[in-house]
Amino acid sequence: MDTPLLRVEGLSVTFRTPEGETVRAVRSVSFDLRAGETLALVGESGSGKSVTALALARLLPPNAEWRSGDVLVEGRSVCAMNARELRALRGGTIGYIFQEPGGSLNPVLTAGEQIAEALRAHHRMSRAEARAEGIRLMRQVGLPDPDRCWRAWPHELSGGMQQRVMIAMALACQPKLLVADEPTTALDVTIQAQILELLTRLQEELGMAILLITHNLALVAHIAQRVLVMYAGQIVETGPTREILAQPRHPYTRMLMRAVPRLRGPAAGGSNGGGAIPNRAEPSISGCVFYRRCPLAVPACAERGPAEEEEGERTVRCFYWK
Amino acid sequence: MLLLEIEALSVHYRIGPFWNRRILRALDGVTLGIEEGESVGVVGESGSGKTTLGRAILGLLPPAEGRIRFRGRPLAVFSERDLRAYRRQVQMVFQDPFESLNPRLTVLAALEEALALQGMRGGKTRRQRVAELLSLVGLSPAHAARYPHEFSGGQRQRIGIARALAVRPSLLVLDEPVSALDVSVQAQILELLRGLRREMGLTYLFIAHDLAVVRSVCERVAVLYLGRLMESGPVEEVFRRPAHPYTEALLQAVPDMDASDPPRAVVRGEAPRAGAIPSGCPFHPRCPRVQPRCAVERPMGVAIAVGRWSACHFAHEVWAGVARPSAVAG
Repeated sequence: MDTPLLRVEGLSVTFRTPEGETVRAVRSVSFDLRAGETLALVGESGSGKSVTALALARLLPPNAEWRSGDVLVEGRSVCAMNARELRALRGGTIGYIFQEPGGSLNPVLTAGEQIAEALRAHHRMSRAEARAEGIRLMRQVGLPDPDRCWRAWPHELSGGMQQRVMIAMALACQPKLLVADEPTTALDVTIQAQILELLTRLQEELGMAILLITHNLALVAHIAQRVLVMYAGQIVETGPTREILAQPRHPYTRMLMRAVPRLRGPAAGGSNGGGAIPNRAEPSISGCVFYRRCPLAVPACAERGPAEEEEGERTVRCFYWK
Repeated sequence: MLLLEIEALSVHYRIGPFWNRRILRALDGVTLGIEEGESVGVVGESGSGKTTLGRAILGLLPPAEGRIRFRGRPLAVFSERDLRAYRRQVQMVFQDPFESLNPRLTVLAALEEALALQGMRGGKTRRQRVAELLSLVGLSPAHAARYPHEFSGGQRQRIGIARALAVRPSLLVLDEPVSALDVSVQAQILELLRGLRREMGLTYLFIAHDLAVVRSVCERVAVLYLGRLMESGPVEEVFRRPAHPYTEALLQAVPDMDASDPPRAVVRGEAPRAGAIPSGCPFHPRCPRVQPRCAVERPMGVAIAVGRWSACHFAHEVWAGVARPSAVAG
């Protein structure tokens, strides 16, 4: 078997809160991502999905601690990389776009200057070459009137256009993997659809892989080939998107799907287990992370956490899903 | 009986520096009636005027044109006393209620404050009423002694709802009450809202950008775009068979687990900036069904069926499902 583009092996990350507590944000997470694939990492707030995404390029914030595990990009450990190699990885092999494009853009540089900066950080290019290439990228991401956008300040651009600029910057170094963390959540729905179409088109044209981080199961349905469902720092279910949405196995995935309000079919969403994601600072979770909200739970679930059960292309972390 | 009637309501903001004052038409000729006990959704993207509509109903923004009637009487003729009564009758629930709550007051104190406004004296009955309110929204009386920051997002919203209900209103204006919440918590709050309406006979004006959320709590929906009403009607009918190209576009843009097709961006470009509302139909520059007449002639709007209204020159064609002239190119 050939090396996957990305392999995450037993990644665990903890956080120190201002109150001095230790929070287990990511608990021995493992997954593979193949070249050209779109993989979705789905979870609610506090599930650890964004922390996982940041860990891929060792971009964890200072209060986070990498406890164990490794991330291999094209077979090479990111833990073993030196500063120069990490620079080549970030914004090189792996490009990132985030939910709030406005917050990620430098307010005192024009859109064009930022794209040029991204280009010149990774390629030997003159200013004129960077500008020509930058304009081409702006056109590729569907920015109207690239010459004018080039000179525009971030605040002069709408949210959708800012996100397009971010995507252009991410594409500047022809990434093999684009990590998109809630890329459309802050946008109006008509603009959301445009950005999704753009990402799908770019993927076809450029053949890059996409790791889509989102809370929105409906979004995943048409975009991702495979889904990882995360809850309280752990991956609880994985598999091909279509199969998971048609027949969710983990009680959490089922609950999540029931909770999503629908545009079609029977109205009024059903109830769900209730309660919130457990406080991750609690040391008491030795068993299953979903124990407290789970409709299938038996006392034993609190004692011992289930291992990942494999069946074909699907995995599920539950004793009683059958 | 109509509880609230919004008649050709326009609300203007003055924007820009004093040497270049301009008028922003945040709402322009919006007409909408809300029956007693009904739940009406107002959907739209940013800049559609949906929040302005909520604030105008609360009497926080004076209408530039048109009027609002409550139980048949226009707000404009209300006396001081009528207005005070009206402000109890109509309560608002915000996206994050705690931005409007004092962080130094316990839940008990915050709810008591609301009860005092209603003229309820202190003491045992008031504390009893607080306990009642908390259990109404699914919290325990033990929560009363806690401070805002000790609650999760979902619990905060429950408290926001409890505070709104404290003065026994008849109409709740809910402005994006669940959009900041996780899906699983959102489902719980939506269920709470459905239950409260059933039990207490409340009327809702439910402002949201999420069409599916609106469908789960509302019977009727009004679609706004750049301050104008584009379409209104029963939710199920409007979503199944929209009569305005903008509604059609919104529905196609929403990712939907149950649809066989991925979301489609049938609308190109973006909504113009505030203050630059296009002539004719405001949606015409982005409309996939645009015709020459749309740029010059403002649609008057037509009733296409009982309770269904659309502000499109071609409402009947859209409604009848006539295919778009040509697919727009990417």
